[in-house]
Amino acid sequence: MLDYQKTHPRSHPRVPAAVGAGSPSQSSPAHDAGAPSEGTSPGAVPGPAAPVPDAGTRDPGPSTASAHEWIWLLQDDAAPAPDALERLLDAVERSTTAMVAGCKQLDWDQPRKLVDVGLKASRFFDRFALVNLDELDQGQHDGRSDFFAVNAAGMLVRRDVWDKLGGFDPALPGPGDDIDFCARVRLAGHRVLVVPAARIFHVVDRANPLGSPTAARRAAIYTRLKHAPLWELPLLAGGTALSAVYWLFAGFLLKAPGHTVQMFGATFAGLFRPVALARGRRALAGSRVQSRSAHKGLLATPAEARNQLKSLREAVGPDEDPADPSQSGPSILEPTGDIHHEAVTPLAASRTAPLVSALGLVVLLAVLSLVVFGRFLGASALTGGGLLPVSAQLGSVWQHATDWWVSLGSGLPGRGDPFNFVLWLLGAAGFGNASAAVLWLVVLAIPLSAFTGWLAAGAFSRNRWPRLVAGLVWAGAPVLQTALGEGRVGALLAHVLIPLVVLGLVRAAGGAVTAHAPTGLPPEAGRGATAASPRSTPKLPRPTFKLGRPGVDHNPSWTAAAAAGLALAAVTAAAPTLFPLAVVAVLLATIFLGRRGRTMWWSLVPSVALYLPFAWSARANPRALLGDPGVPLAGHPGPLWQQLLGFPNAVAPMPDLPAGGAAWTWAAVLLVGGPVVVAAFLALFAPLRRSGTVRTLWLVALLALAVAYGSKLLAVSLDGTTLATPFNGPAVSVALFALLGAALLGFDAVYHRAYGPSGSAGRPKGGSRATAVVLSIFLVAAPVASLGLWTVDSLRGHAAGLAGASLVAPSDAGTLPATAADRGTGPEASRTVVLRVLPGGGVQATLMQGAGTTLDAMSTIASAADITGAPGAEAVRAPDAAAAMLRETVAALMAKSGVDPRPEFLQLGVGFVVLQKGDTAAELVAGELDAVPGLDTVGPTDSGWLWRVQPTYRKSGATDVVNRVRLVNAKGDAVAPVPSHGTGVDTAVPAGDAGRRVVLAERYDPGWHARLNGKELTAVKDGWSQAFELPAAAGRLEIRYVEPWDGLMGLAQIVLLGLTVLLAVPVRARRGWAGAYRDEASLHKVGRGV
Amino acid sequence: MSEDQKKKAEKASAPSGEASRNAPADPAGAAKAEKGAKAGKPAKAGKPGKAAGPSAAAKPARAPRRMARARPRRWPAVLAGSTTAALAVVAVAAGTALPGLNATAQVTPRAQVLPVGVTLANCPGPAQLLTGSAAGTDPEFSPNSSSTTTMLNALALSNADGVLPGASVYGLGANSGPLFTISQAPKNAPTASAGAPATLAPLTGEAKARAAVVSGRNVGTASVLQALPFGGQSARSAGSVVVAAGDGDLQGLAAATCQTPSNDFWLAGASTTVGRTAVLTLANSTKSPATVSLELFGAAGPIQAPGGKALVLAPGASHAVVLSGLAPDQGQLTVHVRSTGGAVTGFIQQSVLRGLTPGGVDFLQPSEGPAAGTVIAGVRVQDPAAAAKVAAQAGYEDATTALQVTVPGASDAVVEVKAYGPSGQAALPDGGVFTAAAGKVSTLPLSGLPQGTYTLSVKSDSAVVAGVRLVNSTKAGKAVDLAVAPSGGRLGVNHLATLPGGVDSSFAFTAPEGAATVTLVPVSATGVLGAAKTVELKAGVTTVVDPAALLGKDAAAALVSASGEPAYGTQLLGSKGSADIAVLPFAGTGEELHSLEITTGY
Repeated sequence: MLDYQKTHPRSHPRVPAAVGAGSPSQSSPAHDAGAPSEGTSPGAVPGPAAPVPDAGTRDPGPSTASAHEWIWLLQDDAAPAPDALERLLDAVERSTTAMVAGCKQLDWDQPRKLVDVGLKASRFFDRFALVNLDELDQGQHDGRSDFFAVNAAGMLVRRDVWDKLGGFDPALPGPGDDIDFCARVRLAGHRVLVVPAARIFHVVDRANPLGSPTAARRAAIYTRLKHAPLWELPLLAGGTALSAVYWLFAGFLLKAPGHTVQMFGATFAGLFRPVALARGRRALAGSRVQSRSAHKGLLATPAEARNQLKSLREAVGPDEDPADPSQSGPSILEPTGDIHHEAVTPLAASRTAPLVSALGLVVLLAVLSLVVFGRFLGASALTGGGLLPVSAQLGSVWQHATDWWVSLGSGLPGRGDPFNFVLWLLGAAGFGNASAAVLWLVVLAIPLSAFTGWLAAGAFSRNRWPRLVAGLVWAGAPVLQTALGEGRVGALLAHVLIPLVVLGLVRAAGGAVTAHAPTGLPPEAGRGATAASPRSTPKLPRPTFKLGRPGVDHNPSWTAAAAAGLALAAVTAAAPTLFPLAVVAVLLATIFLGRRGRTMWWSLVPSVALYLPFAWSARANPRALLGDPGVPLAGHPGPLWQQLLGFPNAVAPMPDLPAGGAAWTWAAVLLVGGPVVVAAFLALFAPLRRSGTVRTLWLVALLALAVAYGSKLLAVSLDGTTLATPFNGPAVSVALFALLGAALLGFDAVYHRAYGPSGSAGRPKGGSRATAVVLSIFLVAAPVASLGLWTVDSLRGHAAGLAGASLVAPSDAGTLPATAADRGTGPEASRTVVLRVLPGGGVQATLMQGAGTTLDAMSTIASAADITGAPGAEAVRAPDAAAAMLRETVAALMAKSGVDPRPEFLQLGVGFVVLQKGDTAAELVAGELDAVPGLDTVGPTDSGWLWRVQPTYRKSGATDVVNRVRLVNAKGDAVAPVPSHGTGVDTAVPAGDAGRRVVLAERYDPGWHARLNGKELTAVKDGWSQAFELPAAAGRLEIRYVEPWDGLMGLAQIVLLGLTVLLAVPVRARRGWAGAYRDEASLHKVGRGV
Repeated sequence: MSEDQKKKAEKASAPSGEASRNAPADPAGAAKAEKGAKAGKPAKAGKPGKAAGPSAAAKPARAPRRMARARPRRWPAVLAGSTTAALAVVAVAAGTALPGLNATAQVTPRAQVLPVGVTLANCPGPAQLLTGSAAGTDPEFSPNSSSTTTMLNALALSNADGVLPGASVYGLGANSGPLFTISQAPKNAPTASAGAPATLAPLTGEAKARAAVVSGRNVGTASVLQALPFGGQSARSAGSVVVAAGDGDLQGLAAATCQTPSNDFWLAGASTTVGRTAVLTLANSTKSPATVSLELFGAAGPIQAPGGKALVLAPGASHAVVLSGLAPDQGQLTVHVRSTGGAVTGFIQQSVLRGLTPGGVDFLQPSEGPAAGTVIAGVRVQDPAAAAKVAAQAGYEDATTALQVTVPGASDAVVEVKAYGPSGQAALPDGGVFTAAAGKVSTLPLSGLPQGTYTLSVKSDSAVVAGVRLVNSTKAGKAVDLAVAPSGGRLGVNHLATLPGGVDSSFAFTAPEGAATVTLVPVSATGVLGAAKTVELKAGVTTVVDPAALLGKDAAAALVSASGEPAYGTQLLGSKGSADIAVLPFAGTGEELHSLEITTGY
């Protein structure tokens, strides 16, 4: 009141209007905009002199004169109401200590909609307008006067205060300058008024705004530090940084990775401005006359801030899940007029959950599988085809996955196969017994496929029957039977997981069907659709843009993309040929789907992360990248039409069929493969609601067939005497599933028309029903025929069925006899030469490590190492020195020449020789091998005849077996064995002669490093093997294989996979998305649908 | 897809799709609107008027135009679908029609040249007469007959440059020194081509190659022919021992080719009935101890003989086993010798004494291992009438020419025998087809064949071991001699055959399946290779060659090579005017083991 008395008698002060620019396109470095208010640049108010219209009239002299001058700040995207200035001046006349006055901001497009009535800041200077998204001006805030801050647009500032405070902080070119300025005004002992009667209309939405949430965030952090007491500064900075990191991860968990990363960057951009901060704090200290407690009571309380954010989140967040109509038969909760709403629909069939029918199918197929694979049950592992037992220790599986040295034969540089991670996960799921887990995977592959097929069919159909049919078709796919028969565990796993990848990708693009879709679009989806083009109807009231339920209704889903990525990582590890297919498909989808496809790229991230070190290590021979995991096994792809029908290998007419076997075979092929393809083909011509999806699926199928076609052009592994190409089965699986999806869309439409609830209004259904029945019969007949033929063939023995012969057999004996396995896995790390007499008269010789070669020890790098030449014209490399030594030694063994093989065996680290059991020829060889000098006969074992190599170390009595690592004196004689430790060595060595060396039975590679008592040793080459010059002194010897990029790549893998897992963790839709937006500006932006 | 199908699919799928898209509240109304729209735009919808007509008549366009316009048209979807379908058809057809290259390829396994060691061949010593009890396996021998001669013939072949390997004959035993030297090892061994594969081209007289020959050296003990490798190749040498006795219990002719040690071989044709003595002599000339097990098959089935298991032979040791101790009273006996450790050789000295009349003596030599098809060359059949007279005598039941077939497997074998004689295939009783029981030795008498030298081809549906007992006689009452012709492998290149002095040699060759050519190169006693002579073999005709006539009297050895269709042959020994007969199979060429296909696994 006193103020009013003082100012009233004066005449109206002169008011220069300063117009700031709200868009970055202007020449002035102005700012603002998207969000209203974000202030006015100091450039627009260059001080007392420049562009102020009535500069000439201004009195440059005494401060008393400037005390009557006011500056009115306007922005180019805000228009004040005609009486706004009058109201403002009126207000400041009444209140003499108010040096700043601001307007009520209203939306330009919808003048009744509030933008802000004064601004508040939280204790940490987060900006709050405290206005809800669709809050209309009903005068509810008109009682405000003294306020923490007012918007820069339409801000009236007394000239001398402006000058004294130096205007806006130059470090805040965008939003947040008004908060800072008003806070300083108050600390300088003045008041800030908001004048609700003075209205200004501000454009809220504009393209390419300067005042983005990130800029607001940056400004808030800066202002937070600027206004904090000095002692709080490090605490605040540290706390802010820590919380930024926390929210980075939380943001991924809450599925807003893009926003989170932007905010993370903005936070640090606000934190690291030391020069500007120092200048700002100095200026503040210079102008401050009041303690910081002056803000007290004006700041937004934590509860206020929390409630504001909460209500905003609720406004933009998706609604609760609508009920599943398949569940919503006549509900027992439906009011009926009865008193207690009890048991009102006893006659309605009580429908179980759709899962129950799927579980029924799974159980049925599980029983079938158990009957067929009964002979596998109880075995410790499976061998044959592409299969081998897996390491007994889960740790060694992990070791083989992460090692940069391939422990096969005499070793070679190369990172372990990414598939080993999958094996490790399988082993972990099998309580540490990976062999049993693989066995059960094989046994249960068919029911598992049915389940995943059923699950993924939910993206295309909500009806039970089509989904069940899809699960059955997927379980009966001939490609799965081929993978089962040939023991291709990678292709098998890919077949099981492909539906999940497709489901994830469909949901990532928001393409899954919703429960309510057939009866019309839900209200929020409709709103979302209109809000997607907000500028098209500018004058209509715009509803709040809601975040839809991710995964459906064209709402992209990060969860689905990340989950699809994780499944895809497993699939690409199991079937690497699918990665190029996935890349092309995802890129095309991203390009053509636009916004809907914006999350899909993340699905490639886990595969890339998984393959990063492996690809780096395979750069010398990139064909290893496409090699299938497991034992190399050549396929024999059939013509493309057979692959289209789901048969990866050429179908051979079955000889034991009744008369005209060939005709029966082709009839069976058509019956098994035809229905899905025909149904998918028909779906192309039907004008379905989702005909675009049908076409997309057909294109995916064609892409997959192209991959299947192309996979035979490149030999990637050597299977003994055969150059093997990547297996085309996984690509055939993808094609089949895409066609199944297309067929399902058509079938679902027919089925729904025939039996769906929406058609109950007396529409003729006869034709639809007939079509649905015919389609059902054929679609069910295909897998039933396929599974039936397969069951008969399998139960009859090893007869080759339509999908090929079964090569897999259960195995109980280890690959190596227990003695050799013990010494192989112990510190001796003895190797074993395993011989097998081939039917043609040749001999297969294998240098095995540990307890015998395991599935996880297999390496596509090793399988591809011997192949050279252009694609299609590959040849086998001549064996290198290590391989040649093995061959020569085996030749000496087999030649009955009486040559002592021990020097070579010592160099190869071979402690045992095993001859696998076989026919009489093998028995004869066993007899002959007894005569080889230097071999002690151990005798026949379950795993074959065993001989032990007598070691020839000079230090006699040290050991009875040959070690992998040995000490060699200056003359080259082996002196003593050295114990191994994993792939390396970590042991104490006694003193010895000068000039001695330590020699490993590993190929020479610059990656090997050795230290004696921490001192690096010189690496030398001993023939083909890795050796180090060892000083005469005793000490602790450490040898290991080092890959310099290991740490960095491991970190990249952990970060990328960790973020993906965070993204893939499902959180409730209401808490997701919106929960990651933690400031008003972002939520407003979301709510406006920008 | 026909038009009707198209319509049907369209109709069927419409409600779920179209209605949901534009009907905010009333599905029925939307459906009506949709039908109206369909009627209103027949041409643009790409539908023939026939389809749209009735519905247009029945339901005039009641829906607001705005809604009709807002609804997406059908024909773009159908057009796009048809385009995709066409693309798919073209792509699959093109992929099927152009299979493209396939990088899957079979790689020839890399052959690894085997390291060569000393070439060993064990030769039998003189025939010895068994005394004392025949019950044990440790025999005692009486001194030899005064008239017995034991002649060793050996030769070593040079390489293509005429360099001879070091070859000598040692007495069998750990410490025995060389009995004599065939050729001295070259001072500076040729280093050439250690890794080069040993190619075996038929040698002709014009080449620089030569040989070192030792003929008719009297040897009183079992011996070992040893040839040192040079130039990365194993030396080629061969030897034979001929034992002839004009009187005594062991009257007759026995001969054997010096035998390469092996870990597994079969001896067929033995007999342990009364008067028949079969002594198996095992020899281990390698440096490793050998553990030998014997598997015996008789006419009644496999014979369990614990005494024939785990016979240990130290390096350089030999061991004689009296088979009647293991398997007494077996008219036909086949022995399977298996050794673990050192490779061994084995001969059965089979002798027959009928009452007081010597019934012949022979060294039984290894037959081919069990196979579904084997060939026995050199089956000499006497005049049937004379032979029948001899066989008619009491105790002479087994003095007939007969094929013995052993089936080691568990299932009976149906055996088909074909006899190729001097004038082509000769008929056998029952067409030569008979069933040989599993695990037993079966006999097929060949007495029905006309006189001549035959080659038997034995084919069966499971693996068998075969040999032919030959009996030669002059006339009834006189001593007869026996021999066993083992089955042999197909003739290759440069088999070494010695031509022992003092007996008549003849070569019998047959090419059962087609014409073949046999080349014979004479080697003189001084080691000079003469000009090659060729013998053309007609299909299925056994040709008997007299080396003395073809190669000259002074030929001490011959190199035998065959080309063309598979040819088989052997060397028969005899003497004019006596019943003596012996079979001397050609020594192997040793080419099988020069390289081994080794594939490496993971």
